[in-house]
Formats: sequence, structure tokens, C-alpha cells
Amino acid sequence: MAFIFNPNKKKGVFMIPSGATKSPTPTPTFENLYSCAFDGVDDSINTGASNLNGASSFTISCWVNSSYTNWMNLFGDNSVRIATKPSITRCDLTFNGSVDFRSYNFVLNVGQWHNVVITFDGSLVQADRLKVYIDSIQVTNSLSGTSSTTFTAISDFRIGRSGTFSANEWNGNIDEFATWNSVQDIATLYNVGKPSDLASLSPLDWWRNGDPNGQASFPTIVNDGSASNVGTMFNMIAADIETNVP
Amino acid sequence: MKAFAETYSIIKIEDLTLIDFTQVFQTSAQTIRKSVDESLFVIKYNVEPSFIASGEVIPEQILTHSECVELMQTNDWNPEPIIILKSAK
Repeated sequence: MAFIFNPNKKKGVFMIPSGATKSPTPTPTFENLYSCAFDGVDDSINTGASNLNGASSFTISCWVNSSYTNWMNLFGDNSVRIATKPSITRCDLTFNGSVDFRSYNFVLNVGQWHNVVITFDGSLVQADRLKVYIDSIQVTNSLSGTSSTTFTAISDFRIGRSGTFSANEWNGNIDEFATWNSVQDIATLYNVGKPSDLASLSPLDWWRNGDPNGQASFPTIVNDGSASNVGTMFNMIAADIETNVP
Repeated sequence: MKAFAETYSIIKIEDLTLIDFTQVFQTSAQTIRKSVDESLFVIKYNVEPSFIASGEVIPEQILTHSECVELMQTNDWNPEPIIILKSAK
């Protein structure tokens, strides 16, 4: 095996052997090993002031697994929130303080993981500004949509609860919670039913709910998006970071 | 399957200052869930806190997780949100 001398380098430094293949830089493999479990009583993750405040468009994506069929709030602040009652496949989306989206075909099967995505685009006509998807399928809105062209946040944004509104906390698991101040491709987020590495999509927020450090993360949920605000687990314990994942 | 706290207790609000939050799962007095009239609140634990074992705090109710979830659905704990409903299409 011959070595090639590179005269441009310092004396004694050799290039890789002729005929050999340089080992590529290892690319971190995306793994999703953990999610957070919420008890339906008072568990929540407080992420602080919403980074979506003032947005003229946004996407919110998360993976959910419900353990309950009565009313639950999935996330929100006091301005935007999504409430669902799986037993009647109902979903109400509150936007800028009013219910602007109501669906009767929001099907969440208890014990199964689903990808829930909400998009807002203030540049579209009123009826098309808010859209809700489950597992990449758009659900219908029985209301007239929002007249707002921008989103105004009020209070801290919480996962598993709606802002300071203490009722109907989420009962089940939530994972891979991400936001963008733009509308994202729904099929890419769904990824045929499996969370994927969102880094290339440059999310604003990306709370991975336990990855990569598991229960050692407690009580802080790091933000792997471009924003810096972490989530803080309220009324929860380390064991609420579970290996139940989509 | 989530391993819920073994015990949920309903406590009178006047006993709030007697709660040692290192012995319960709640983060602090600022994060507790209160009843609508704010006369009661929830704590949860796996090991009976000393302030209950000693009789210093006497729970109004002692519940399992599923019992507590159902209690939270009642009007005493679950206010109707003040929201504006837009007209249907």
C-alpha cells in the first residue's frame, strides 16, 4: 500500500493511503425513544411565552396518544387552544379567543398514536386560514373559519393544558411537539406514521419530550428548535418520561 | 402505560401553607389545580406525606387516579370556558 505525499502540507503529514476510502463523518441517527405522559388532572409542560405571537402563518405538529374519551385540552395558551372529545370525534380549535374551527370527524383512537397538525395562513380566504389534520388527513370545519390575519398569543403556552385555563388537562401521552412560523408540508410531518428528524425543516420550537436523555431530563424539556425557551414539567415526576412512543 | 400516582387527595385551601411540596408530585403552590370556587386543591403522592400521617392536614377526599379524573370533570372542578363561538357555515 503506497502513501501519497502532499507537498502543500507540513512535512511529515501524509494523505490517506492510495486506494483507501476515507471514513465518512458519522451522521447522528434520529431516534425517538421517549414521550411525556400526562395524568388528566394537573400535569402540563409550560413552555413560556409563545414564539408564534404575531405570526401571519404557522404550523403546530405533535404526536398524541389519548387514554381518555371525554373532553381534553391538547395544548394552548389563552388565545389558541385545541380541545377534543374522542368519544364523539369532536374537536374545537380556539383562535385569538374564539372557536373558529369545529370538527365532528376528529378521530383519536384511545391507546393509539396519531399525528395532529394545525396550520394557519392569514393570507388565505377566511374559510381556509385554519386547517387541522390527523395522520395527514384534513378534517372538515363546520364553522366559518377565522377572520384574523395574524395570531396574538396571550399567557404562557402549555402542552397538555390550555394556558391558565385549569380544566380538562390531557390524559395520555404527547411527543415530538414542534412549531414553525410558516406552513409546512403535512405529508412530510406525518412521514407515513413515524416521527422523523425535523432539523432540516428548521422548526421554531421542537420539544422532544424526553429525548435523548430520558428520565434524566426531568424536569426540563429542551427546545431543539431555533428558539431557546425550554419546557418545564409542572406537577410531574421523572417517571412521566416514558418509553411509549409513536 | 403511565404509572400514575397511587393516591390523589383533595385538600382544603386553608391548609395550603401546611403542604411540604417535597413530599408530593405537585411542583409548587403556584401550579396546583384548584376547584372552581378555589376552596379545594389536589395533591398526589405514592408515599403518604408526613403532614397527612401526623394528622396536621386531613384530606377532604382520598382518591385513586381514575376517581380523581372523574372528579375533575364535575362542575365543581371544571369551569365552562368563556369563549365566543363563531356562526356555522
